[in-house]
Amino acid sequence: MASRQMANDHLRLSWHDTQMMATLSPQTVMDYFCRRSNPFYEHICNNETIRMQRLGPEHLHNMIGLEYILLHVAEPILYVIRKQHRHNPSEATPIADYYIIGGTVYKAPDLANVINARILNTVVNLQSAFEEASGYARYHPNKGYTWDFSSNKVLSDKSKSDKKDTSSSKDENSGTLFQKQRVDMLLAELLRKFPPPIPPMLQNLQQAPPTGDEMSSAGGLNSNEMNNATGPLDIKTEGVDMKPPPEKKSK
Amino acid sequence: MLPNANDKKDRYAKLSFLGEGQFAIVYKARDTVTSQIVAVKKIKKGSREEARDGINRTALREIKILQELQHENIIGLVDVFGQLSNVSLVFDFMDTDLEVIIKDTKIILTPANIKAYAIMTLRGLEYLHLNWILHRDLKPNNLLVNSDGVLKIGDFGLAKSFGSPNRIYTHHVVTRWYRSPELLFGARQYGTGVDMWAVGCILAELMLRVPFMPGDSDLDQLTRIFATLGTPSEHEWPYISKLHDYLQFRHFPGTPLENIFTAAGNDLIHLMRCLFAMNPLRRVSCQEALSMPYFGNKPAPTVGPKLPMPSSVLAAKEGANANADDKPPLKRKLVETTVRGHSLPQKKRLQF
Amino acid sequence: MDDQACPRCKTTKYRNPSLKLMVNVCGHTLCESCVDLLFLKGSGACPECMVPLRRNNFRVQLFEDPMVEKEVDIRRRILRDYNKREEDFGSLEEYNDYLEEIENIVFNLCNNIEIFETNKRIEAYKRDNREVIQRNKTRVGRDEYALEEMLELERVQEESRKKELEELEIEHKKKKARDKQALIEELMYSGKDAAQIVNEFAEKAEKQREEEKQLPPPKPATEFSTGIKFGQTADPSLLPVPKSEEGPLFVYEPFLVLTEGPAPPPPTEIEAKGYIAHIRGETPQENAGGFTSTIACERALQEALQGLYYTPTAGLSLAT
Repeated sequence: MASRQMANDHLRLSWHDTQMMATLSPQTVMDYFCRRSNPFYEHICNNETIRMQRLGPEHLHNMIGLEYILLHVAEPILYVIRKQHRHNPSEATPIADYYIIGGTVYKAPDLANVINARILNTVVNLQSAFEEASGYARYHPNKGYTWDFSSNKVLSDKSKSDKKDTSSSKDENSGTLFQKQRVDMLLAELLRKFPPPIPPMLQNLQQAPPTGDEMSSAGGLNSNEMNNATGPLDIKTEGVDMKPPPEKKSK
Repeated sequence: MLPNANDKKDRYAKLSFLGEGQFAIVYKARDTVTSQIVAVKKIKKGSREEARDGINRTALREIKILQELQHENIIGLVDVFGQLSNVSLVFDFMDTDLEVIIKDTKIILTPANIKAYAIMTLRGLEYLHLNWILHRDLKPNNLLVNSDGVLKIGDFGLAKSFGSPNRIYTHHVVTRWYRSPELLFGARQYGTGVDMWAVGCILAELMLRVPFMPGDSDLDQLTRIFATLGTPSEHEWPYISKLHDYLQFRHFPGTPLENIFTAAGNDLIHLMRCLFAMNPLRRVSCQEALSMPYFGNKPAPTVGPKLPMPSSVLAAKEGANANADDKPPLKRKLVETTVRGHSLPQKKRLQF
Repeated sequence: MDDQACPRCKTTKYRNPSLKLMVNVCGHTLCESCVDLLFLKGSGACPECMVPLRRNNFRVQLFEDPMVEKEVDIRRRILRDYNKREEDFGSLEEYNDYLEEIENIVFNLCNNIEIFETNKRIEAYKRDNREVIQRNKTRVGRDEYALEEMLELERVQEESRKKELEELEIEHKKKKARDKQALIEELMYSGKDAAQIVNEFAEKAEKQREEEKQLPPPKPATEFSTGIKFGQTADPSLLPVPKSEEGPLFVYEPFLVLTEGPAPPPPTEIEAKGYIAHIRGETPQENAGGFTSTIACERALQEALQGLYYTPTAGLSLAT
């Protein structure tokens, strides 16, 4: 249990070494990761044993135990390092992955954590939406239940302030836009690979939103192209196709 | 039963030359009676003055001490025989020693291996110290290993019993790189600490694959020790200034051990620290060392046959397995290469 | 949006939204057609303020507000001369003073305050700092060069990519033409059944189309850049991390010394029970070397008590 907690804490950690991070290359990145100050690096692994005995890295394959290998290189920004347990020269079980972006090391979350975080995000937002909306519900014996948003008066005022705090702190943790998009892509791929069984009614609904997204992005592209045709400096006419033509046509 | 000296020399059939030391030549031989492979150490005939006093002092020490000891991790003295004015000692045959293993860059020493070697060394040493004997020449060269992965302490040429208050002990013992600071400071009375310090140096060498503190002279050795581990204070080591050859060294803070042995776990670092205690009275003893958590923790020590062997030993074992059943004529045996040295060109059985 | 009409033709601006407004140094706007008209007639004067103008003084307007346009213009002109940088100044305050000077000048020129004096100041500054201005001009030029080079590079890459695509297209078309030709020839010269030939070719065309479909999507990444394959999570033969290590853990059992006699007192007792009192204490040198009188006492006691229980049993006598 303690190890699981530690693994979860690692998801919130990041580490970098200011001096060495400027000169990262596929050859030096393993030395960078293997620094003792790195909290993700366990210094009793096979890599460290080999370094201590001044042997070459080819011996890694013959040892059994914990080792770190360079998994993926997308110079100059991204490196992925895998921590795995080696059973024999041809087999190893991966335990965790760490990615290095621009010199900072993070732990890559596993699927369970990503899904947990997503669900939590969704549920918290839904819940706060409900709580906010519930303040605007009104009841009158004659009219029954109604919504009243216009009065700007919420009936129940309980602990509005700390809800705001939690939502703002949630924002910080929920990741940048780039990360969200990227994870969306990965989840979509996984969904394609392992399609869940969907009842036919929901399938129609599912197709509508993705196509809707594509259309809006395509629409954005079109308007840009039009602007380019009229000239790059014509910023004034950018919103021309959106606004209705002026009513007055004098002369 | 007083054996007839002339019988003995014929009992051991010489197989090949293994090596040569300062006092003796070692051959690999086979016991014709038990067909056990043994190593025969023939003590060299010294100069006339030395020979006048009788048997070589080193040989005498070895015989005296080894004939009374029996332990799995101590080299066994199988037999002793004389021939004319030569003395020969017969030991168990050991394929290799720790120095060869450390220097073989094709071998990796995993933490489990290191732990196994440490346990075997300390077990043998524990037995020795309980019998009030100091080895006084511990180094990887003298830790013999056979093909079954059993480590035995060998070369008792400098061993002596301790604990006697009136004897004077010489401080010129132990190979310099493995010599403890009290010896370097010329202590005339010492105890098990000298062997424990050597064990620490050997453990460090197992981890780093190079000698830990190779000094060129006594002074250089002391400088290295203090630069690596820190200069001892009077508080840490009372009466240090009273030692015979004491010199004041400039203050070194020393390097933390975890920065030198980066792949070692915390329990091993703790053990090293206890083995390298400056004050010999505070230095850990064999029993205390073996009770430390390092030995009980994971990873478990490698069992004997799985210990890494240098390639030459493995090749020899392959050859031996192939020729196992038949009793081969001497010709074939001489062609086979062994760990050290070269095979004898002659075909007929030699006389000792 | 364009709430301004061109002051000349007023109507034309509304009618044609794509018409551009030009602006001149005095800050007054004219639509493009009016500008043409003006210079056709040969005279070059701003209709509002009658300032003499030249054709190339008219720049396409960037900003709606002519004041802004004018200020931007003035600023650009001034900064061409006042092009010192922070590194050229000794302290931050000097740099700030310099910046304030620039702002003052621009403000004055924009709002037509003390134009004459301001211009004199500019001239004086230009004279004093001629070399510095020159140097900075060239320095700026270099940065621009670098940017331009990068843009060039990108353009070249774009072009090469486009060329490749075009070539692919051409290839494709040629292939199609060739196939058609082959079909026709087959039909003409071979003795086979016409329908059969057509079928064969149709099949071949289909096959080719399928192949092409598979080719264009780039080979999906099946492995990481270091050669390790993806999709290991689906691999059922993954061994779990072994929980138990090989071999038994070491358990220390102290070595039993068989003394054949009563057990000697342990070292702690030796001191406590006063055996020590009868023994010479160690000298400081001996203590430093690692010898205490306890050790000697212990050994003596052990050897004294050893073998007291030993009795030679029958059958072990040497004299037989």
